[in-house]
Amino acid sequence: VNARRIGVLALVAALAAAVTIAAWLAAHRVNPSVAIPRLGLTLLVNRRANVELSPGTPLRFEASLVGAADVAAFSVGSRWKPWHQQIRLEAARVGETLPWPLPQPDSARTMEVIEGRPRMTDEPAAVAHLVESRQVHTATFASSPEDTATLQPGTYRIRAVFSTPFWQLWGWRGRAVSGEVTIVVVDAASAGGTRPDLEGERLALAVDFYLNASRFEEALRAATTLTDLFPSEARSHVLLGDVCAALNRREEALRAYERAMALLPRTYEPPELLLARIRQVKDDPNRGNAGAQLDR
Amino acid sequence: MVVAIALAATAAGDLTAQQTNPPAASRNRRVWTGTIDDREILLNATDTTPIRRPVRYYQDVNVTFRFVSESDPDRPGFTRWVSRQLSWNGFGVSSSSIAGRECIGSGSLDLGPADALDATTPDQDAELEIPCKDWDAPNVWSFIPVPNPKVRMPVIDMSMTNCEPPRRWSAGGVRYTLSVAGDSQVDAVVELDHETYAGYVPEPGQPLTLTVRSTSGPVRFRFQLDPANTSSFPGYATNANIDDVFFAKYNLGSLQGQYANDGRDWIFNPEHFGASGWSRRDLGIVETRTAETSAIVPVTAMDFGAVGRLRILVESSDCGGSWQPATIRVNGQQREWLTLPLDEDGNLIADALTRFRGIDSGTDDDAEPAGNGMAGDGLTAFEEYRGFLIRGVGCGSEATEAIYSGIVLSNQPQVTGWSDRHMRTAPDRKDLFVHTPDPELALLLPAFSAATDLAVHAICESHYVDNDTRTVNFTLHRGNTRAWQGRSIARDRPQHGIRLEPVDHLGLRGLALPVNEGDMGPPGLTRTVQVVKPGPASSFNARRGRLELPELVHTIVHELGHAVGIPHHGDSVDATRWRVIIGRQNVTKSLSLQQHAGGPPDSSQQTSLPEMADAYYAAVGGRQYLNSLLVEPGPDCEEGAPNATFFINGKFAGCSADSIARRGQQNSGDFECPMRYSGADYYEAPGSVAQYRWTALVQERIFGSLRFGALVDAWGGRLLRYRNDLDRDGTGRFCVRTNGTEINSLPGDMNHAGDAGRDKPCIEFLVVNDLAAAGTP
Repeated sequence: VNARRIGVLALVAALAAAVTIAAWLAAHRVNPSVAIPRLGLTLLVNRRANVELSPGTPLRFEASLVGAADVAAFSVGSRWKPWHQQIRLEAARVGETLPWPLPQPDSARTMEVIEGRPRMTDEPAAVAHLVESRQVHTATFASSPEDTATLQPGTYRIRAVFSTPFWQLWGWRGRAVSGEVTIVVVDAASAGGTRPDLEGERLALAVDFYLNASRFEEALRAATTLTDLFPSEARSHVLLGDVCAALNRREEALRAYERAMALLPRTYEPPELLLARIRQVKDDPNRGNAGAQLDR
Repeated sequence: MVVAIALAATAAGDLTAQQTNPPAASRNRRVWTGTIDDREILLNATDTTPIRRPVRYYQDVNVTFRFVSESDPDRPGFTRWVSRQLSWNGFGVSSSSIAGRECIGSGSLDLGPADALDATTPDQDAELEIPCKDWDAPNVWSFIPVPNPKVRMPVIDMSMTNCEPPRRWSAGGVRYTLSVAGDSQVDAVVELDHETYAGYVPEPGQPLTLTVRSTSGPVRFRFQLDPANTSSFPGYATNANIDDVFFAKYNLGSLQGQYANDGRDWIFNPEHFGASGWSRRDLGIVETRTAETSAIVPVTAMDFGAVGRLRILVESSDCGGSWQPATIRVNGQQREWLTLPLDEDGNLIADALTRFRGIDSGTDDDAEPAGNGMAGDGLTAFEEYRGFLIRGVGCGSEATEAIYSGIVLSNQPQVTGWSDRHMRTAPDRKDLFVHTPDPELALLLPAFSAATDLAVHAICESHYVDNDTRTVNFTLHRGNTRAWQGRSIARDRPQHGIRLEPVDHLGLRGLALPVNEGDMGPPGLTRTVQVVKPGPASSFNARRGRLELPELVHTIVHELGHAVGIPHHGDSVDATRWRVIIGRQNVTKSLSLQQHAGGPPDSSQQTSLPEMADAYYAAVGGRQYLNSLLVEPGPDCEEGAPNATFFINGKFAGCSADSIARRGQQNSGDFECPMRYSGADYYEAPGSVAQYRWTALVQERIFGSLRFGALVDAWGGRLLRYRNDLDRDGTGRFCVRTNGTEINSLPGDMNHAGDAGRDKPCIEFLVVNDLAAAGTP
């Protein structure tokens, strides 16, 4: 008898819960007066909305969640599914397939302004708060040089999608789709080498990618090629110096940095970041402010 | 909105006379309506002082009248006037930089019955004056042409016949219109709910809805937008052309494909006029299908700065069914037409926005912040009123589809740019527009506003044409529309925004790249501002000199400061050519070879030497560059110190340094000023000057061993070790004094760089108005 009673009570409770949930969903579905927090999703690739590149150029996508300025506070994400794991990349055109695997988010950060003071967190909370437009929550996605090496010349359009999981019944629930970014892949080699700028960009970004991935030997190969192809560009030597410094080849790093100093165009501002690198390599404990900043 | 149209069969106040006098028709009663537009503009006017200061002179008096005449029963063959109603608004301004007169006034008056058209009493003459106020700067005087606006009396040609088309003519620079009708026809008076009309400000897709009512029986109405007096400004805001977003965002989808970028700025939206109620449904004219006692007519703005004239006509049986103009009564004043929106001061700007009241449309005299003393931000009052699109949640790649709890957000069109916001800017505060594609950099822009008091707006690339053009008021300038109806609405040169781009691999924290090397001044002279952004967090990035957030914020403010004409402490700007004038500069290893003489860097000297065989850093292009500065041994450079790295023949020769902060140069002045440099290796002791000594290859203790071949420039004098632990980036406002503070005001030798070595603080260099550099190639 007790088991039957418990069973009936459980059934009634389940039915009551189902009715409550159904009513809540229906109310939100049909009631147009419900306050609608507007979510902005912005996508950039290699810091731009449109890029032109050659195969083998690594890609860094940045998908940012921003609240609209005229909308009250709301939040997205949960401890079970953090906000940055709810963002994915996909082909922007329905039915279009991309010839390389689109990456998963590899890092996330939050920049916000609180009482006029900016703050950035590299390991943000699982829940992203959006108060008017005072926060930018950014998830980054990286495609390696190997991923993009087989790309055929053409135009690829990609967008980011933010969607809450089906089981989430609370908070902001829904889906937002970013505008598309356009990636135009140019076969620099078949163009008769008329686009050395693309090759320089490919190598520079590859050095960056390999350094961030701690793949130093590959970074060194790319940096050496870059300096061979573009010996008069300061950027080539800065990146070579970075790789040598990472490999603890300090003398070579210093030489590369000094060469970069000589090649850097004269500007109205001092090459503070380059000087900081030189000091870092020399490991001068009494270095100036720029060097001290690196210790933080 | 309630508009009542009253059919007046008799002139007001004449009811008693009607009972004893002959019927109106037998007295040949006629109703005369018309306008007088008395406008005067002086170009290139100056005052009488030897300086010949420019004087802005303009006056405009608009008068509408409704006079009723009839045959005089006492004097056969003569006409008498039974009613003479005048309404007017007038505006006049004349001003130089030291003196001026401003006149503004409006009113209405019934001059009453009279035998002569223009008979007035002294009290009436006084009422017809437009009041003026004079002002002068203290202790100076000059003579300027002064406006003396007056309400003119109508000129009426009695030979004109009833139902004749309205006459228009000019005489002595004054424009007149005149219509006449018999009093047996419909003499319509339209009255408006002034509050609703006066509160309306144009916004695309937002109609101004008028309700018209006839109190004396059904009539057919015609509403007509006067094409000659309705604007067709290119685009729909100062920086926005008509595009797909326009139609979607302002619920004007039915007009897509029909409405062009230079279409009329007021229309009758066909969606609002059903065929059953309206027989004519053009964009510029609508007519009721049948005679009605009332009609509701929505007039739709298509531009944030839409200006127009609406005429209301009623079908008259008296003149063979032709359309006769109705007289419109607004707030007790009678008019021949309705200005859209309400614009009593005639400055093309809706009176509902009180901060623009009495400001001429072409004015650009934003006063705050004062900056270099040049008023204005390159944008006229009309352009500021018409407003700008500014960045919403993104630029071009923001969300284009959103579904919340199953509801497709209908207020969020699925087109790029849906989130752009429209903003009317203040005519008294200088505005600066900055485009960055990066949402994080956009988030940090308020820091520049806080440092300058400028109103700083983040925009998208399309909001200033593109990154090469950077024109923020492009719609009027590209349409070559500088004036409208005799009023200036755009200045002679376009105003530019600033491009702010995130970059990698710069080697610097940031850079303001001028259009021409050495330029510094208003935004038009800066091609782009580049800042290095913090990259992905990794130990290797930290070693590669990536910026932290506070440095990023400082760099943005500092570099944007250059883009509005602010040089480093110690430098100045030649405001006749907008060229930066370099001061002595800190001694750095990049510049040292040009600084041997002690003054500003001597550009006739090279920054490198011929290749040296023994140098252990390879030459570049056959030239040898300095590896370091060498500071001679002294109290702050003793052997054994960590930076005591240079030797000659094994004997200690000096300490290494990248920079020596000089007094009054980049590190000097207000500690909190974002334009001040922070950090150095050495500084000149107060009262002393760094002295160049020699240049040579020396031995350097590096990586644990002593090696020959480092090329150094040796500097001496009283050079003290820079206390980097006491210094940091300035995070305050741009300095308002040149005085040194904090480490630059410490007593004795602790005073690092002293006061800024120039006669003006940073804020007095600030210039936003691109007209300042009008003469710069």
